[in-house]
Amino acid sequence: MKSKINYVSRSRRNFVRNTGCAALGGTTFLSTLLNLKSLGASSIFNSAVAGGEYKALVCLLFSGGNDSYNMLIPTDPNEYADYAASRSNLAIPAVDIIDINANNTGSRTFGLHPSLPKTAALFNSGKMSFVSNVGSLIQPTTKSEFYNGTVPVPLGLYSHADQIMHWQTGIPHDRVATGWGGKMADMLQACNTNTNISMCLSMSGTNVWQTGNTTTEFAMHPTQGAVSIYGDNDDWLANTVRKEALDNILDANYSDLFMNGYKNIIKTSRIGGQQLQAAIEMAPVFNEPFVGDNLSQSLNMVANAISAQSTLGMNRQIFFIEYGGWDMHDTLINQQSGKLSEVDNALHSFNAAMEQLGISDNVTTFGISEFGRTLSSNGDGSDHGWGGNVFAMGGAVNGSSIFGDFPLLDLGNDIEVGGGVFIPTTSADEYFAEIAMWFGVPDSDLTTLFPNLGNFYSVGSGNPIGFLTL
Amino acid sequence: MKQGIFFTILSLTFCFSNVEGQLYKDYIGAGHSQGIIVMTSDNMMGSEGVKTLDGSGMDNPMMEASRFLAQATLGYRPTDIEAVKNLGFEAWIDDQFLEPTTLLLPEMNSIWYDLKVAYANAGIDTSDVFGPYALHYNYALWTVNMSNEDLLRHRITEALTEVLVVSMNSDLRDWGEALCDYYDMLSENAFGNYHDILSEVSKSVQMGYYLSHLNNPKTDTTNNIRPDENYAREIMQLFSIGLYELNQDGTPKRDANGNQIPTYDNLDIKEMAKVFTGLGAGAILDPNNWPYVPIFGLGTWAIDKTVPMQIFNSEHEPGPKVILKDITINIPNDGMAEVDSAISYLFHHNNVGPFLSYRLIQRLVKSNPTPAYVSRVAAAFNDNGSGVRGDMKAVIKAILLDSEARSGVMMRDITSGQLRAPFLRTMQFMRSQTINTTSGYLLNNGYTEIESTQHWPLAAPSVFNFYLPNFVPKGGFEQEGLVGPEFKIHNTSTSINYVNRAHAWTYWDAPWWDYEDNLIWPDTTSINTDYLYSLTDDPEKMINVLDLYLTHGQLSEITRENMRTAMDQLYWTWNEEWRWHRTRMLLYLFLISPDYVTLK
Repeated sequence: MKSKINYVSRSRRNFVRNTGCAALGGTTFLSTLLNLKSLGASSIFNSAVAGGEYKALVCLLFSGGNDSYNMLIPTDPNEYADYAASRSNLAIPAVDIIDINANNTGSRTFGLHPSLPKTAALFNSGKMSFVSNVGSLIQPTTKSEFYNGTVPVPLGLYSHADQIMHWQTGIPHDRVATGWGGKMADMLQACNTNTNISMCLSMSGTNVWQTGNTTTEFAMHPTQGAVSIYGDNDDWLANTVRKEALDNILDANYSDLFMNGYKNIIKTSRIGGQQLQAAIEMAPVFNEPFVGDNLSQSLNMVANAISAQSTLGMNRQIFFIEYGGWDMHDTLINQQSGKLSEVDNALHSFNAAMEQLGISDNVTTFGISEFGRTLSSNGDGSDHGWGGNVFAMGGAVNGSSIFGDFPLLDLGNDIEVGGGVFIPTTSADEYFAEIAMWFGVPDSDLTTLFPNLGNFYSVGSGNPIGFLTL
Repeated sequence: MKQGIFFTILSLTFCFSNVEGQLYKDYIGAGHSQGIIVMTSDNMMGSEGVKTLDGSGMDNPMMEASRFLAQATLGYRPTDIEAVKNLGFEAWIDDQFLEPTTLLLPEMNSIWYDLKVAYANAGIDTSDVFGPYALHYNYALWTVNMSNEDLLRHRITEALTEVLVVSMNSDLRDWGEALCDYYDMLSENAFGNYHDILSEVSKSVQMGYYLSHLNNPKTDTTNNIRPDENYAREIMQLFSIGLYELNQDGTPKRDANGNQIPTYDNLDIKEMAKVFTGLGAGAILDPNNWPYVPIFGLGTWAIDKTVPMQIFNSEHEPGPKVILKDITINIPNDGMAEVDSAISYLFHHNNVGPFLSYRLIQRLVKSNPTPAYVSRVAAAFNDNGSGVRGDMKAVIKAILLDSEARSGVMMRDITSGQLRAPFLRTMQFMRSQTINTTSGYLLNNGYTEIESTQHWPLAAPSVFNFYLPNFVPKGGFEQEGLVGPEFKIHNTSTSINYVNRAHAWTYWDAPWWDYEDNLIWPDTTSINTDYLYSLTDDPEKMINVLDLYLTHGQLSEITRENMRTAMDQLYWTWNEEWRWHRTRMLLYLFLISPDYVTLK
């Protein structure tokens, strides 16, 4: 779409993306693998560095719908006046906003919510950028097209259950059970020599995003890590009998889908869990400690697992954290302050941990949320919207920038469709595609992941948005 | 309330005479006798193999009764199996309809009072003890469900808590009385009418708080303030009609182009939001303190959270509201009449029957009901036979007595079954056993279960419950076109945690913990396994007893063989401790077996 920053193609991009398993593509991977093996070219699959250098994605789902026009706020006096008028009693006072130095917004100026001082520092030091007014779309949509119903819009628009799925599936025109994180893992599975532990590690249990056609997530506990079965390390006679009986039940083949589904999860977890736990217990002490809330603890566990990637034989890792509680129909000002503060601490510590590990360039952390919220107030909160603002953090991020078209925030403008809901001006598909490309998904597989991508972006034309160094 | 005496006198002996003689190789349901070998039968009870084969034997009705109870209750005792066998399914349901409601709120208040006395006796300043909050609701929930007789009612209540969701995963956690009262409200209506349920839920201060239509003001154009849309959306999407027009069998209607037909659009939500304005506190906690009477906008700190909301007409949006595309509601100066009218229109929408029926069938019987089954239950919802719509008794009978719930043939159908939600696994096991408690109290803090398995009544992560009805797990479900909602919370972490819970229940003899640090009274609970210990010379008998209690006679041969092997290995001559190990091991293996954890 418009206003994209055009980055010069880098030779490193071509090198990385044409190296290793990623270039094999996803859909025909198995047959390719067999062919390569038969040609005696299988060495890359036995190498810990298949797929080039290590890479990890950390997805933070702010579930409930983050009111992200109070996270990233225009500070130019005219734009702030529009913002304040639209938000009425939800507006952050101008004096409280933390100014940031965006390097690509010309004369437009922006700031962050007062709970985000450390995040502002990350932004200013080039570790972070924002993508603005992004949301689920099937094709570019104007206000009149929206009102006239002449273009298809995402199913169940404004509904949590649907929108939260769409951000995870990349398929807003349908309700499907697989997500683009899991499908990337399907495609890139050969990057990991470890076959016991899924590439997809979740701190928040089962989720659609990490569910591929063959991949399922490995769920970890945010503080305990992988959980093991009591007594599995005890060799006393009665316990040996118990273990054998458990083995027999887990190895049995039940004819029933429900029974098999139940015990297969236990079996997977038991094998992978022992290996994972041993590896993450070797994690270093991080110099910038993580605080005690669930988000920070989850990111601490992610950092532990990243520190163990080499031991584990995982050259690609995909992490998922669902961080809920953003559906602030009520008492938004207070609630959001508390939540963003937790985000601020967590991102700061996590970035420091990645730098301590010397792996910052290889780890990209990015936020998603099912929708932005209404600019207008419902009394003391906001309701479900559409377009919103998201962040990406890491050494590969082209930092200190605000990508996409940050809209003017006056009600009644040409993308506002009632109550301060904005039609997204950047498709979530473009955001996802750029992340997938960085992670090593070849161009030829992008539309497999995101079938509507071609409505916004010409595959092969470089960065869809520009926030990552490919 | 002391429960100890009641628990320690529970008798388990009657059932041994029914099962001990039988050494069957498989469960025999009606129409499932081909190729089955009945090695012996129980001569003492006058049964013989052929009777078992043709369904007239003694054990078959006991097993059918056990399976029925696994659908109709949260947990049941051996005496309940006997009762169902003697009465028959429908008469047992009719009996249950007459059982008085066991309420949580008075139980919680009693526990809270006793705790404060005990703290005071221990020299602790009771004004420093926080509560009652979610912990005390958990205590009451557990105490009631470990000792009540209105088993069917609480199973329905639990199902309703998963449809009409409020959760302690919000500030409601601080108000035990609010959680108890909401659960009790659903219990009291479980055999009533869904119209009343929808109405009482909508007006409850708990839902008003949870989905923010409490203190929701009318439009203020000067300040760009418009009505909160939260409840307007969810009452339609989650509590009544859903997103798309449905046929009576629950399948979506299609337009001429084959597309699904939305039941409402965003404009309808904005209009419905206007209906749910002006609702505020119905009563205040302390009438001796300001504000003395409820006022609009009053914070929850001062609101009595067991009294329904009332309307403040001056804060209710004036003017007509057009809901559900073309229905106009306009009752000037009577906001509550507008609320009632909107709820009534929703209740009478054709979608409600199939929408609710599908969800309740999923909770009670199976994850993938056939459209014909949904249609039969929806028909009972639409008309109970006497022209009444929304009669829960008719819906419950239609669900539990349907051939698809009762037929033995369905047990072997690949589409038939569910992964049982963790709370049900826990509850059924505990209720089937005799619990010894030294304090006389049954105080399960609940947090261990919530943390381990993520499932507990009124503890969902959001209004979307623990899982969505259409969740498709890995492992062949998608290929078969099947859903398995409960698999959403069965992952590498919770699955192992459940195995470890079973370990604690059996090997550690720790069925649950309170949260009182033994400061106030010695409280140890344990499971009385004497009935198994006495059978340890004959593992097959042990297996058969537990097969009846826990797996309704449906224990698979594959699991049974693994159990036999383990039992045989647990034997030595130097002492008798192998008996203890056989007892604990067998319970453990039952609890973690796919046979117990799924319900077919």
